[in-house]
Amino acid sequence: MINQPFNPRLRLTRRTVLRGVGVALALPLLEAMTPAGAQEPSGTSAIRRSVSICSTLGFHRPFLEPATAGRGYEPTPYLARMKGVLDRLTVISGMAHQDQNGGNGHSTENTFLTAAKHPGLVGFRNTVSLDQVMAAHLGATTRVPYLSLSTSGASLAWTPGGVQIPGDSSAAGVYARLFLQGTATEIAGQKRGLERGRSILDTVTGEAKRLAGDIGPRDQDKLEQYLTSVRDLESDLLASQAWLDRPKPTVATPAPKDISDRNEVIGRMRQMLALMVLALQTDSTRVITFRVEGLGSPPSGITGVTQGWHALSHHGKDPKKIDELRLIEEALFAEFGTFLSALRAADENGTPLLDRTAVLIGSNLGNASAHEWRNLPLVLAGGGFAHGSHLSFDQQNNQPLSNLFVQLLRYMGVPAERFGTSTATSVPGLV
Amino acid sequence: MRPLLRLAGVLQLLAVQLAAGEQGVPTTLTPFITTYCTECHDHDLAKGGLDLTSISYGADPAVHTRWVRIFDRVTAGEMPPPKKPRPETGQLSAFLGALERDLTAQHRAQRSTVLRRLNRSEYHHTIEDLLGMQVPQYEELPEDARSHGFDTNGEALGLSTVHLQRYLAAADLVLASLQLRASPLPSTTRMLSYADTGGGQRAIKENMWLKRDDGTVVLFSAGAFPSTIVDNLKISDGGTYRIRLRGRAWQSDKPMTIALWIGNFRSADNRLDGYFRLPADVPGTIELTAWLRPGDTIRPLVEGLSLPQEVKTGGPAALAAYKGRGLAVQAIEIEGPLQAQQPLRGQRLLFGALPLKAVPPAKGKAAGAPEVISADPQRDGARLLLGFAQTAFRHPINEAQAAPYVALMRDQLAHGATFTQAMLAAASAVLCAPDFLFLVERTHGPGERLDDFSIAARLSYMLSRSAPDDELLRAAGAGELQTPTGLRAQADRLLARTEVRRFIADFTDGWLDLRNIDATTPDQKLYPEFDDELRVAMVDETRAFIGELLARNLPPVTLISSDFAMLNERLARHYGISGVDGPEIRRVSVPADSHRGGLLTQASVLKVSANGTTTSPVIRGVYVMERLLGFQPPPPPPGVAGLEPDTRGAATIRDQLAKHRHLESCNGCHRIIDPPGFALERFDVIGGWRDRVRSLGDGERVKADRDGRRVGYKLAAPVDASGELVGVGSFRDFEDFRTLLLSQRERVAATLASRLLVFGTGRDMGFSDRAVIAQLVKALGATGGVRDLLHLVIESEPFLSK
Repeated sequence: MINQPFNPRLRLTRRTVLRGVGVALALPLLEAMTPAGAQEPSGTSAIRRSVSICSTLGFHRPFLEPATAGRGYEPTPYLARMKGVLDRLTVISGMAHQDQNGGNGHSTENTFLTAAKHPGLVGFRNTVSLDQVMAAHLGATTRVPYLSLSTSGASLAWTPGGVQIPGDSSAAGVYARLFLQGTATEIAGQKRGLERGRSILDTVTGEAKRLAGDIGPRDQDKLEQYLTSVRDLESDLLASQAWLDRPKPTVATPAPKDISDRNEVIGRMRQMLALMVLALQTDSTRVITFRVEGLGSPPSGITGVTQGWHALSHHGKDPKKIDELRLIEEALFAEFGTFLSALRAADENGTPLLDRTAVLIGSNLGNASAHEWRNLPLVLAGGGFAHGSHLSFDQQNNQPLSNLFVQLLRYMGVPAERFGTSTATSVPGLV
Repeated sequence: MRPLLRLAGVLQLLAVQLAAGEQGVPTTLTPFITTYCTECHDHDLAKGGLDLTSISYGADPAVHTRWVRIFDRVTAGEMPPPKKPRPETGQLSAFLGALERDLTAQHRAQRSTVLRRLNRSEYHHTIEDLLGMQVPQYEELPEDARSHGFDTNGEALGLSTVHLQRYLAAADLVLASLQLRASPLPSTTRMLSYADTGGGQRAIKENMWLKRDDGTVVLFSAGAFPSTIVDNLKISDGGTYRIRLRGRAWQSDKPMTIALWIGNFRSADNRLDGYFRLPADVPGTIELTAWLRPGDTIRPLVEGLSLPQEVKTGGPAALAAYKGRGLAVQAIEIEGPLQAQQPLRGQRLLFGALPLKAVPPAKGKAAGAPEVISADPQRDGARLLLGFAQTAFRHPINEAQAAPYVALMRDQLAHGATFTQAMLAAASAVLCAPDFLFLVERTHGPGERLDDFSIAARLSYMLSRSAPDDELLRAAGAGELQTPTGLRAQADRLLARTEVRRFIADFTDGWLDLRNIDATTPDQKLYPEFDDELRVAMVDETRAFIGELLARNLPPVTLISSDFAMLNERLARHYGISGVDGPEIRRVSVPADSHRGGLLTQASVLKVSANGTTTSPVIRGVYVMERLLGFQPPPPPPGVAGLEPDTRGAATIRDQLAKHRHLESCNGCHRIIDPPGFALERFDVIGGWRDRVRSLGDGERVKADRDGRRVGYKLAAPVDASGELVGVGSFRDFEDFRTLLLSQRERVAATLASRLLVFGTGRDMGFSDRAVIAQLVKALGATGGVRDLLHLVIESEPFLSK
């Protein structure tokens, strides 16, 4: 019942916009305008979800990627931290985005989900991120179209216009948005607020259009960003209005308390990952991105780490530094393991939630010590794919990560033909 | 269908632009290239990833940038390389001349400040000045993208639905806290005692604080528990208040430094007002004037003040016998609200002099906000909204331009809203309109001169970080900003206002990356002396230093070396300078034997260019080259795989870098960027001077102690701060290096001018701006000061045009 979209219009506007920005969809134009509901099969069996997680300082690949390709590999130290779900995940090596040489060594943290070339170099303009294409496709199917979570504030999500969407780093705030029931008076107030918001947006749209005649060509582009935001927000408000009448799901887990210490990155991660399970379980959203931001300082609470995380990522092959880095990254993978196990334990009509959720975990750096952006460390879990192996591609001539993205888009029901620098609509060996 | 048509149009346009951008290298350049360049830079060799036989030419930003790099390397004599035949002088200058003309034309044709959204800090100040109050909306807005440290770049400041949603929420929140008042609020004075606060009652009862007969309460601890929050302050009306805390340092022969925090201490939105000092022998008074929001209160904190466990649990006798220091507070006085003018500016702008009527409280609820009464809501609304929108938009508008907001107000009235509600909804729309959220410059192309009101906005947002005030708008309306004298007069006026502190803080923080001061936390074992007071003081020092240069019009080269420093007691202690008492920053002459003086000796700069445990000459080197000398290291050439440094077996950072620099492709840049970092090796991660590196592993034990406890670190390798500044000379130590840098007067001035232009115009400086900047530096001469330079920047062509 709750997977019926409320607002076919939302789907139309967003998709038409997406069409112009390098995401090729297989549908002819007119078909894209059929009501969204007409294509959604009913029942929960068709529900599919997507989670993308990026940790911005790389992972030490020898501790992640097995020495042998295919099945029957010897688990590496990081994989050992996800023991309970190894049969539900695939380690991928030899994959990357193309032409990521950028403004500085860390510019690729902006393109992990977009595949735009040469981030940060003169003339660079980011493109839409994977999750936003999925979210636009699903529209108002769920209470929130997507969550862009972050341990720092910066997210992985980018609009079709190349604007970074602010990330949510307050677990308490997200919890309140998804699960805290308002009183009848509060809800009535929110409704009035939404109505008012829409009238305000109507007013400013007219103003923005008038302004277009008064400004120079390069300004038009920014004004277009504004107009697109207004249009999309209007649709969002309309969708929110319908959702206001439906009670929010009740969850047994109490509201989290935000952690103020920014160095407490593992604790922040744990909170967010737990919240992600709740959000997926209650079908509050089906598209989640989560950016785990590296730190200049040592992460709090990991015994044995004395140096800053970033400094350790530039280990220069110094075994002492690698040892400390390993402690941090093992702690991260332990959290990922817990997250995947929780998704597996969550049952949806007899099927583990994990089997209906494609989870991509990785980093935008292949070897952070050299700011290498090829050979990214990647793990794909869940989603009902045939797992349990190490999918290894050419280290010299990497498989485009965009190919995986097209496959994930199609998994989510987006009839995509291309994304970013894709050369195929699926990844060889991933079924 | 309309969006589709629009998109099709955009795509078509893109295709045309692409075709137009594809150009071959002009024949004015080809003879030189085939003679001197293509031997290495051809299709087969393509050294450094550069193939000049197939390179495109034209205004495309990426292509343009490549050619700028070619121009720079040939100009610097780096290309053709030394071992190859030198070009004839005539040929060389003809080639460079032709290229320079083209590059200038290309950049001029497309350089432009892109429609710039107010960033978070500008939004905050603009609202604050527009409505005459402070509101808690600041934290709700997302953090802005930065370009070269500044968050004023139009291109980088994006807008998404999430942004817009937050603007909508912020506008509502702001207007909801307008505090409409039927009659002025009387100012009252109240006396409070720690004996009545929640924390105080408990601490006195449990014999942790002492209540004396004269009512004085001695706080023997000032941390989380017992709480020092003055929870009986109870502010119900937002406004400016004066708070006086009377007390002294108890059982201490030294005065005591107290940090005063303001906030409601329930949310994270608490702020440090500053550090204050109370004497030891006689009672003194701390006084502060601050804007308090409803529910706000104060909280004093004293670092290191705590009661030993045995006294805590020892009952009244143990406390009476305790001889440790405490903070004796006689009384806390609160006076306010102090607004000279009531009602607030926001109410006057939006509702004029219309009367208000109090709304009686509903059953069981507090009294509602008063309602504004209008005999003719339609006409009053139209008149008032025109004025409000005009002020918010920072330029005059006519009735037709205000009409949409008036229509919204009327629509709200028609749907049953009260006049007040309808006006607030229209005001919300004004605060979400593009004319408010963006610095709209009504011109049609790159390089076009700005109109009067756009100049006023640039000037005001640069120097006050907010909308133009009435006087500036008047000057704009009178055309005075189009003349150098008129412009200078207004700039001088703005520089004399207190709001100039916003400019100094935002510019300094962006330019020198001080926003990242908290990005890393110094390791407590390695740097036990680091505390909050020092962290706050180090940023204040650098801002005060820039402020001093501006106020006294000192030459830009003072940035490199100064015979004074802006210090307070905490900083002076950190720097080993004696004779500075108290928490306020003041100008201090640097003693002859001190290493301090100039930006590079300031703890803030040294902290943001290091991490919490170690220093990296590369990072500090890049910092100096980029931020002071204006050299931007180019990214590694395309196609070159990242090279992984192998530092195994390298004992020191310098050894590690030497290994790194053995690779030819790295050395090209690293021989330029590393050396300033070597000189700064003299300073540790919090800006302390060092002869040897601190270590937690190997090293010699240290006999120092802190607060009676032996320090945990050891002393390892001695510092080697020698190096060679390419093209300038070699240095043996930091002071040598600083002296060498003094010869770079013009580069420093040019960098500062360029940074000021970037900050003020909201765009990056490019090729065609180089000549302008060089001219500014020439006009400034050897004796011109920072204030002169700022004026030159404001009067320059880039600042005054799109």
